[in-house]
Parts: sequence; structure tokens; C-alpha cells
Amino acid sequence: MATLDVPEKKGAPSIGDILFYVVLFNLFLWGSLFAFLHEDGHDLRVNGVFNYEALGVLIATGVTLALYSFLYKDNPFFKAAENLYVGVGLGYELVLVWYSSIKPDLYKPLIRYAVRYELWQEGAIKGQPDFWLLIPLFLGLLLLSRFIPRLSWLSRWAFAFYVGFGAGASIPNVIASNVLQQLKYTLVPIPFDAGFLAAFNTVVILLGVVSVLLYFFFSIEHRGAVGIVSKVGVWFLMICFGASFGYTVMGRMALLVQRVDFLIHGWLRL
Amino acid sequence: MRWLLDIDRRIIFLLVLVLIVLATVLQDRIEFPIVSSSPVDGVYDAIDGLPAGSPVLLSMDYDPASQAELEPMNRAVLRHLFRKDLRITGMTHWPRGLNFVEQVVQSTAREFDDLSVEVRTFDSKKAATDHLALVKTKPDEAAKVKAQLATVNIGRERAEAPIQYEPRLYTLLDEVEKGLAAEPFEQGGKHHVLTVVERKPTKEYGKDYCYLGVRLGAAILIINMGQSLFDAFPADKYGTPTRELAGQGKVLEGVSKLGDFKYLMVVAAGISAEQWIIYGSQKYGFPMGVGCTAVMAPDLYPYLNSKQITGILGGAKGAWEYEAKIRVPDKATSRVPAQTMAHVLVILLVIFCNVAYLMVGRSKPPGAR
Amino acid sequence: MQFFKRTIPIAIALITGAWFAVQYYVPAGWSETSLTKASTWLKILAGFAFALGLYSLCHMHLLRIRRRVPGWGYSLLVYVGLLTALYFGMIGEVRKVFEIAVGPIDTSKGIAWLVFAGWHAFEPGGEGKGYVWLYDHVYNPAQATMFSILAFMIASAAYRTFRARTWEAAVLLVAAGLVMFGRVPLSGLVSDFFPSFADWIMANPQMAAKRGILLGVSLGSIATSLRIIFGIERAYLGGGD
Repeated sequence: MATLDVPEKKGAPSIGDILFYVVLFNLFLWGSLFAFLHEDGHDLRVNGVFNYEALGVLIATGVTLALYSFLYKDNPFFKAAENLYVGVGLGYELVLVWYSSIKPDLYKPLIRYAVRYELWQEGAIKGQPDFWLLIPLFLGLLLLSRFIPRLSWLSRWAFAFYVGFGAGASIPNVIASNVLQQLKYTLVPIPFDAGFLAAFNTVVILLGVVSVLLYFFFSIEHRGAVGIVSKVGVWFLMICFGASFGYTVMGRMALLVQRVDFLIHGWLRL
Repeated sequence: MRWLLDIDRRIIFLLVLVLIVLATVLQDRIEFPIVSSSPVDGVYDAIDGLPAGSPVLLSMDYDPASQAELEPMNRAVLRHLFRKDLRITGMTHWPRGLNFVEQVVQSTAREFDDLSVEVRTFDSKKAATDHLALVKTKPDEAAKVKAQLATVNIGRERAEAPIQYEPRLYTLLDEVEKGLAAEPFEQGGKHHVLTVVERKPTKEYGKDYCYLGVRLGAAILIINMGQSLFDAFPADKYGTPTRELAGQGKVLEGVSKLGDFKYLMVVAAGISAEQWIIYGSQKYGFPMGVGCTAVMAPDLYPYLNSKQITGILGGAKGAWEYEAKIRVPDKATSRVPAQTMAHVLVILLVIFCNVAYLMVGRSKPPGAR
Repeated sequence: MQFFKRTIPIAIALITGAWFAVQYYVPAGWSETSLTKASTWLKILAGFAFALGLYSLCHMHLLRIRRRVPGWGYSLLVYVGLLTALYFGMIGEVRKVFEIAVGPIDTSKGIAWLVFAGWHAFEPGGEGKGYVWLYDHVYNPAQATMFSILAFMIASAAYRTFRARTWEAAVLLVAAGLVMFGRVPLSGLVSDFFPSFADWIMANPQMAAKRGILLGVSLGSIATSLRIIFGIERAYLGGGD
């Protein structure tokens, strides 16, 4: 009978490990009992039907606690939850690729007319097949030739079309949006009549952009005047990375706050 | 002193967890005044300035990993768009977000239903609480108690006498409908027990809003939409042809491509926002605003400065500021205490470790490296 | 053979890349039509590429199960999750295929109910509820939890690694601290200076540095695109011949 194989570890789990797993299991068990039994807790039946939402909350909590057990150390519960999540995610996305891409954009406008030919001839299916779509169908099949080692070179034609379009289309758009527009608002006259702060900010922005660009220009040695300006660029970059770090902390903490909110208000219903 | 620098990281994990759990449990008792910043005002003012009936595109490109930051701001923006009676077209680039984004659109539209509510008013809290218990155990008897009928539309911030609208009604009426209301509604010294008897939608799918679902392609999809919306999305998520949705009096009337929208609001994790700017707004010429995760927000300030976007809602902060602007404190606002605790903790950890580091450095014997 | 394996793909990249770079500046109707058609085709191709990526992941786990590598049981769990999601999501389409091939099926009782009504199972009369339920209660919380683990890591890193060993590092940490504090409403209660200064940092020095980086990255991406179009950059061919 197939069993879950765990990579061999040196030595048995320690007392601390066992204690941790026992505590975690009891937290889940007693917390769930509390969540159902207390006054504002979950109901087993809602409008006469079994409460699948409450079952779902229990499963979500189990998955959450199993994944958080990684913070103590890597363990089978974490690995099991992680792999289950990967599998469900894979299946979910495969289904979505069919319903949101292949079916409406390729099957319905083209392939359906061949598959349901008789219904089409009877007039039950309206419209005409879009034969232009034979081109992306052909390219898609070329892409799938990657699965046949002898023919995998055919997929290069599809990739070349995809990459060529992306490279070509990006050039004028990136120039317009990220180069010209950005330069336009950097090289502006200093607005002396708008007050000291506005004028100061304009100078700060100009200095910042030029010094950072010069810092990343490695074709000349950073000595003398170039060295001083690139040093200023470093200061600007440190402020930039510090601000980014601050925002990253905010972003990551928001994710944790949401999970804790789910455990307190969604699971325990406190 | 060196041991201070080598503390087991699991102790820090535990400290973080305990403080955030504490702040979450006490969140209802802590309130901070919220003042919006100019990037958030930029988005709010742009949407507020649109005339009623203007077609607006809302691209909601996020997944469960970024839902914590982006869903509250998505909901707040949707409330604002619905309140302004704009014609909303929703879509997403991310398959992983398809279902819950749809739920947000549908549930926010429901907030604008006209609710017929039976209001039973009591002078004391005990009498009201007793009646609330009677509603759960003997609903027929509870129904015999005299009531006044009031129409409430929480989305429009309207409520008829004997009650007045308050943001609390958002969650309270939701709990009432689910049979989960635990306390009566206290207002002006009176205690009201509310029962929702009828719900009449005022926002109609296909006329006031629609949801196109997801298509893959990222920048290519944006270019495709810019050329022809009907080619990019032949049908909405429910199979209705988009050409049908562009008929007279429908949500996409007068819209055949991206440039026909009066505003684009992107709520995005990842690089979707930048792709919308480069391949959408810049190329096809329409104003746009961005809601993004806190990690992405600093990258978008150059576009704000160059007026390629009207404003930025950055992370949880953007969400709670927008909730304050539209006067509906929701999930983001409730998480402010925990978020504040987390920020202060990280600042203190950085300060503490640097002080300890300096002290250890000073305690080394001369000549030591 | 080199002609088909190397020359043709490079020629395709050159022709499509050059045309769509120039197309931006050609306002004629046929030019816009070429862009519309190409973007529609590539949208479909993106679906195939997505499926290709997902297949690769499935194949990797299948190999692990076949070869019984250590931890192959976890790959089995991947397939349990995968097949459950596929069942809930695709059973409606499988039913349609059956009905085309065999004729109408009575799903009100017996094995047909067990198999084809499975996707109704969690809400009588509903469609695909099992699929949405699985997403809401397994995938959604799992992914959110995985990413929230980073919060602990960042707090741990803040204590154990972020030390001001140089003046530049000190500037970084001070900027981080001021921005972090300025982003919460508590700072406004202490003094108006903190939120205002945090806003100023974001809108001016931070923005300036980001703009410099953006300009550099954009110029680099334009250079890379030109190298791809002219066949100098061939990494997309995948190596080999």
C-alpha cells in the first residue's frame, strides 16, 4: 500500500518537536469546538441544510495552521498542506484556461462548427467559423510540439512570433511612456513664483534623476566630479530603498493581519 | 550582550504573532483619525468629477496573495463608482482572482438594493435584546410586535425614519439577513431591532454594471482591447455577447474600444498597473488611477509625477484612506490598530538591534576586528 | 535543417518585431487591423503557453511518483488536489461530451447522480459550487497564508540583519523608519510632521531615484528588444541547435 514517504532525518523528533505538534493539534481541536459551541459561533445547519461554509472554514483553518507550523520548523504537515495547495491551484488554473481562453476564443468561433457539424447544418448553431483562427490554432499546436523531443524545434516558430511581437510593440510604447514622458517632467523650469518648497522639490528631483543615472553609468570611472555626483546618487538610492523597505513591511504585515483577522473573527468568531 | 544579537528567530515570530493577535482582538476599542493623502485624493477627485452615466473600466488584477491589501480598496472604489451612478465594466487579467473579484462586484452592487426594513423600537436595551432573542426562538410571536416600515439604502447612505443612516448599518444589516445579529441597533437613546422583509435591486446587471471575466495575454490583451473591446472579450463571464451589452441603454453603450472609457481604475498586484499605463492609457489616451500593493506603490510615483495617472492607492494605507473618503469604514479601517502595532514593532526591532550592535561593537577589546 | 530550426524563427522575429515597431506610427486602417488580428491570435497563444507551463509542473510530479524519489507521497497529494479541482471544474463539460456521444443522461439517481451531480453536491440546484468552494476554502487561504509567512521573516530580518554598518545603511534605515511611522495614523497624533515628511520623501527624493532606475531599465529593455529583432539575442530559441 502506498504510504507517504518522508525524507530520512537524522534522529527521532525531539521532545520540543512533539510538544509543538501536540499543542498545534490541540489548538485546532479545542479552537474548532469553541468556534461551534459558543453563542455567536458557527451553526451545523443553516436553513435546514448542512453548513458547508462552516466545514470550509475548518478546512481553511487546518490548512492555515499547517502552513504556519513551518515557522517552528519544516514538517510533514506543512509539506502536505503545501503540496495540496499546489495541486488544487494547478487544477483550478487548468480549468480556467479552458473556460476563459481556449473555449471562448478558439473552440466556439472555430472548432465547434466541426465538432457539432450536424447541428450547424440544421441551423441550431448560428454564424460562420472564423477561419483566421486557424493561424493561432496552428501556432498553438507548434507550441505543444515541445512535448515531442524530435519535433520540439517547431515550437521556436511560435515563440519567435510571440517574442517578436512583444519586442517590436514594446519599443515605441516604452519610449513614449517611460522615456519621453518621464524626461518631460524632469526637465522643467524651476517654478520660483510657486514658493520655495515647489522650487526646492524641482531641484531635488532633477538632481536625483541625474545623479542616479550617472551612478549606473559604469563606462566611465567614478572619479572627480563624476565621483561626487554618483555619490549623491547613492544617497538618493539609499533613501529610495529605505522607503521601499518601509512599504514592503507595510505590505507583508497587511497579509499577516488579514490571516490573524480570519483566525480570530472568521474561525473563532470572537 | 552578544546573545541579544543572536536571539532565536522563533522568539521574534512569537512576539510578532502575540502583538498582532492582541491588536486584532482589541481593534474595536481603538480608533485613529484618518486623513487622506494627496495621491489618494487624486483618485477620489477624478472619480468624483465624472458625470453620472460615464462608462468606467475597473481592472481588478489580484489573487489571494494580495487580497488582504487590494480587496478593501477594490470594494471602496466600487462603492464610490456605484454611488456616482457610473456605468461600470469589471474585468481581470489574473485567472486566480476570477471568482472572488466577481463576488466583490456582485456583493457591492447588492449594497445599493432598496431594503424594506421593519423597525421595532424599544426604550431599554434589555427589552430590545429580549426581543432579539424572541426573533430567533419564536419568530411568529416576534412578528406580532408593532413595527414601522423604513426603506434603507446603505449604498446611498439613506435611511428613513425612525432610524438614520450610519456606517454601522453596513455590517449590521448583513448580519440581520444572515440571522447573526447579536445586538440591537442603538441610536439617539433608543434601541431598535431591525428585520429585513424585502430587497429591491437598484443596480441592474447589463445596464449599470457588467463583469467581463478574465482573458490571458497581459499587455497583448490591453492592446487588443484598445483596438476592439468586442474582439478582446467576445462575451462577458456569463456568456452574454459584448455587442449585446453595447446596445441602447446598456452598460457598454458608446463603448467599442479602450479609448471610449472615461476613466480606468486598475486595482493590481504585479506589473499590470505599469502595463496599463504603457500599453493602455499612454497609447489610447484615457485617464487612469491605480490601486496597488504596498510593495509596488513606490514604483508608481514617477508616473504620478508625470501625470500619467491621477492618483495612487498604495497598500492597506490607501485602502483605509479611501474608506475614510467615502465615509464607509470597513476591513481596512478595522485593521489599522494591528497594522500600526506591526510598524511600531519593526521600528523598535531595528532600533533595538542597532543599539545592541553599537554596544557590542564598543565592548570589544582594543585591536579586535 | 539549420534553416528551419534557426533561420526561420529568427526571420519571423525580425519581420514581426520590425513591423509592429513601425506599425505604431502608421495610422492606416490596414495597419490597425494587423495589430488587432495579431493581438487576438497571441491572446489565444497565451492560453496554450499557460497550459504548457501547467503541464510541465504536472509532468515533474508524475516523474517523482514513478521514480519513487524521497517525498514522492507529497507529489501524490498534488495529484489529489489537481484531480479534485479538475473533477469539480470540468465535470459539466465531460457530461456534455457524454451527451453528444451517447445521448441525454438522467442525473437524478444512481451512478450518474454520484458522478455528474458531484459538481452540484454542495448546493442543490447550483452549478460548479464545489469548484468555487474548493477555491474559497483551500486555495485562497493556502496562498494567503504562504505569503503572510513573509511578515514573520521581515520582522526577523529587521532585527537580525538590518544593522547600520555604514553611513549609507544608516540613511536607508532612517528613511525606512520615517516612512513606516509616517504611513500609520498614529504618527499624525504625535505630530503632523511625520506623515507630511513621509509624503515628501515618497514624492521627491524617492520618486527621483525610482525615475532614474525606470529610465535606465526602459533604455535597457529597448536595447534588448532591438537585439531580439535583429537576431543578436537568441535565448528565446531555447539553446541546442
